[in-house]
Amino acid sequence: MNRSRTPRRPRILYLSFYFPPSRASGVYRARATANYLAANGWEVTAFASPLSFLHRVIGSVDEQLAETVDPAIRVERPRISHFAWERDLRAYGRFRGLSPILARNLYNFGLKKFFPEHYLSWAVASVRKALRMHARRRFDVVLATGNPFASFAAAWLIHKATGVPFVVDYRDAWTLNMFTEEPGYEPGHPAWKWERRILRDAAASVFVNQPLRAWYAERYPDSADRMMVVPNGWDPDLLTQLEEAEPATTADRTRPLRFTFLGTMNATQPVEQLADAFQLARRHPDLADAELNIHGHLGYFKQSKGELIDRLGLTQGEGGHSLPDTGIHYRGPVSKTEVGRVYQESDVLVFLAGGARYVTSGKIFEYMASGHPIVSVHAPGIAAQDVLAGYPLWFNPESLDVNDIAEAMIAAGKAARDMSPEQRAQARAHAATFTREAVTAPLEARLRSMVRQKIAAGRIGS
Amino acid sequence: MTFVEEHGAPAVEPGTVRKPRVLLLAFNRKPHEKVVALAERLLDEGARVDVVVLTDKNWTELADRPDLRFFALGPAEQRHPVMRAERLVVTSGPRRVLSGLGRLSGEGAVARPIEGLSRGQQRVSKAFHKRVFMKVYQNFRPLVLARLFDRRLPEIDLQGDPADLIVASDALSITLGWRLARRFPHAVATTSLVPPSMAEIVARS
Repeated sequence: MNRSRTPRRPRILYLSFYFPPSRASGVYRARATANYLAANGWEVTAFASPLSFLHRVIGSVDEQLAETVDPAIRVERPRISHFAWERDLRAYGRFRGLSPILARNLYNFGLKKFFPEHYLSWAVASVRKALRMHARRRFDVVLATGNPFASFAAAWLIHKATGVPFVVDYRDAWTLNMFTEEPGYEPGHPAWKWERRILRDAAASVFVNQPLRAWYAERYPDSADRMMVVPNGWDPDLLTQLEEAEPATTADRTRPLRFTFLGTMNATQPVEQLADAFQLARRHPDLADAELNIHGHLGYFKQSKGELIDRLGLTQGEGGHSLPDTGIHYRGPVSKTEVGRVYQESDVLVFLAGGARYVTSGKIFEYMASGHPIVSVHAPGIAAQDVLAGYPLWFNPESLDVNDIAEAMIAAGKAARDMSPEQRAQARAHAATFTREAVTAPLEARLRSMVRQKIAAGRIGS
Repeated sequence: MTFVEEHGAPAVEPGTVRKPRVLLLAFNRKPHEKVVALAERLLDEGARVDVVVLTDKNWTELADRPDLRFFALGPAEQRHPVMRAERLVVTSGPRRVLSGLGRLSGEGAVARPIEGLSRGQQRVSKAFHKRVFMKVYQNFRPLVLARLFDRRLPEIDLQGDPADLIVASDALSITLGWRLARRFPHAVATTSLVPPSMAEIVARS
């Protein structure tokens, strides 16, 4: 009997809690990684958060983003306990309803004893599901992305149970507080023990920038040779609405400038400095009647919005407008598929970021791809500066002083009015070196090197 | 339980628009500033707020606000059989025995060991109460408090004038909140200290 067998594709289990339709800031890296692997011959199974978690706890989803996930990717959603987030008393079970303190103590004991993160139950469910699936069809490699870092623990446990090599992708730092630049946990905290064993056994660990990799390499020298940097990059498939710039008309040169912040604003960012500097810059004739449009979510959770609205000085306004009119407008969330239009309707982009040395922000790559002038509003020395360094339309005040930021805004406004198509093309050429495809290729190569050679070369049939 | 009617206004006067009603359960002796801020916010949004507390003495900041009423349990918890039994076995019982012995032994050298025993008993009783009894009792305290309040809830007439929002602001008040949530299915029942606005809650119902 002549049985022809199709070559077996390498199989990867991707543990990514935040995966579309989640709109968490880290989801684009996960989406792009999974899509890239699927497009390059991998059989990808992604474990993600349950949809009920996104709807009930996070409070929002981006359905259009979910449509951009390669249909060949199998998405599983292991269950998670809502214990830490549940606020609806009717959702409490009998035990928790009658003994809330005992229930809480038992829950905290689990966190202390097993893994110090509320996502522990998702990790446990992921391990169980992964082992069942592995028993039927073997995975060749496991890739886990954090946060949540419970996914790292799950990858480690799967590795211990099956011997499958695993890679951890630090989208964020775990034991380093990137905003204070201090260790994130006190000595003796279980997070250190877990991180030590995970990095000891991981086949590779991935970081978003060189300063972060260096911090980890210094603390875990035995694992340093297995550490690599994969920057965030930008997604050309999500910026399809970006058009080539047309020469500015006279009307363009006289209309009020449009400054834009696009992304998720959060409490660690210098929000007040941004609002104050914009007020100051707006007094300059070139920026008369200029607008600062804020697109995206205010905070990661639905209850964070009010505080940021206050900090932006929009408290008295209705519908996100300030009263009296300060030119600052909150325009609400934008689907990733509408992002190109927002860039198209902007003159200057505001790069607002919290933290310093270890923070890159995924947004900066997309900002550069738009080819607009970019004004920095963040602490000096931020890791994103390494990426922006070759960008010709970058206006960096080098401080968080309101006057310096205002001056940079004015200079960026002038540049936006006078910009030639050549300057924009030059800017976009710099951004092209950071497409997601370009930055993910080395990771894919590293993952492929971990798979048995015959499978990687397609010489084993399925 | 005492029902402190700060301004004593009837819940709904005939011919007037009904103001939404909130039941804020706050059993911690000293309310967290976020709980006080929530009460203020709800009052500002036009709600009638009934704060269910163990004692209202730490709520003086808001005491003069109209539409705010306190519903205090008072000493009922101390009279609960569990607490009385513990006192009898751990504190008052041994103390009475030792004081009886002291009386029998009279004054002078014979009484000295009894005095020493009495001081030791006080220390041990206090330590037992704090380190053993309270640690165990804490786990069941929400249930005890819920039962005590439950018996007296008819006083605030939740059947005739149901609450639109029930907030259990701390761990101790969850059991009562959970029970009320099951009993009044139309009320929003939450542990969140940033619940939806009253306008939103009223629009939903």
